[in-house]
Amino acid sequence: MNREAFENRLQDLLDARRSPASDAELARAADEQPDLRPLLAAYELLASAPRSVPALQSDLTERVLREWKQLPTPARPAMPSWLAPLAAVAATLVIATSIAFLAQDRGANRLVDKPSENSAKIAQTPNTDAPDLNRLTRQAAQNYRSLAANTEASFSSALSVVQPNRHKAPTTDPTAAQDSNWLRSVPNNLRPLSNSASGAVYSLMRAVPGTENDEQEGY
Amino acid sequence: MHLLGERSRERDNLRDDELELVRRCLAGEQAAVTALVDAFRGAVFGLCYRMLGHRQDAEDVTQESFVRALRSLAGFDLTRDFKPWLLAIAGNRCRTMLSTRKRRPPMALPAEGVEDHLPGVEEAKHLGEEVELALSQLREEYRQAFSLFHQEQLSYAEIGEALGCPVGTVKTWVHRARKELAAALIQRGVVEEQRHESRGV
Repeated sequence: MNREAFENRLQDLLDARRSPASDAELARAADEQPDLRPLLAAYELLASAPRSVPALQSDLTERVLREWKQLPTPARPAMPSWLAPLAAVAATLVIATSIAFLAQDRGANRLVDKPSENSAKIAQTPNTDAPDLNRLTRQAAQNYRSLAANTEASFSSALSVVQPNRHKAPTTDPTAAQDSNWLRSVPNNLRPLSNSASGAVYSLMRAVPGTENDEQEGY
Repeated sequence: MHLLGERSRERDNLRDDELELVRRCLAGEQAAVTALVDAFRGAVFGLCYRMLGHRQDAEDVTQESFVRALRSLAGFDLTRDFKPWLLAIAGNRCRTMLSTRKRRPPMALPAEGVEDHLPGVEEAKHLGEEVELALSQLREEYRQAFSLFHQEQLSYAEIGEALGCPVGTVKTWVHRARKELAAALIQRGVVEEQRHESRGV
């Protein structure tokens, strides 16, 4: 065993808190190589290094207790000082955003809920702008219907790809009739999902005379 | 295997006892605070003394460490061991004090005059003094790591928490400390002398 291996083994023994004197291999190596003996003796001495710490004053516990009693709330975890203002700002932002959204949504709902009164008033008002409003409303209705038709056509073509038998032979099965009606109801089903603006346009369209039964008027 | 299992059980029991003490302290029980301080004062003072090398400073920091630990006890993670947490607090306080001192901590034992006691004193005391003298000439990190491992019987992990450095670094410091100490003891003829004395007996 060379000197380096000898010292590494000594280190391992001391890491494990074992005495080098108890290791037979080291003792044998030290017997064979006298120059390793001082090293073995030095590590033995280090392994049994005495604890030379002076005695601690006996009143330490009393002093700690005195200070502990003066602590205001020892069991409460301290909150970081920056956390309170941050939480207040975050809460304010959340409340302000909620109020803004609620106000916006309420405005749109008001337009949807009472379109007929507004529209009737507008229609009855002898105003030169009235024809323009009617024309714009009709244009909006036309756009909406065009969109619905496009949507229906898209669904129809998609459905013909997915379920090619659906449009083949007519059947007397009542569920089949429901299926055929289902396709027509797609735009109506989509309507609640649309945003407030298109909902308002739809309601306006229903309220303005002449746009309710638009098919009869050639739309 | 059997011995390892037994040690593990002993450690678990010790940990349970420590956690029970912590819970009672959190409940505001004065007797538990007394028991906690009594249980760990030796370890904390030993660490502070090894790091600061000054008795009065070590006592002050020990007291301060306990007060800080009790103040922060509600934030202690009960799944962890209490002793490393407490030693980490003490280590932080020692580092703060060392940084304010701006001077190398003096060792408790004087470097001079040890040789005067060589003949005629008890062998153990003499060897202890020789080790302390060699220790005082080591780099501060080596000295602290060695003392905490061998003289305070802390584990590498506990020393790492106390000194605020990785376990691998602590191990390296302890190994280098041993190597330098062994060389110093051989150079001073301490171990040769010990051998002669043993033969003489």
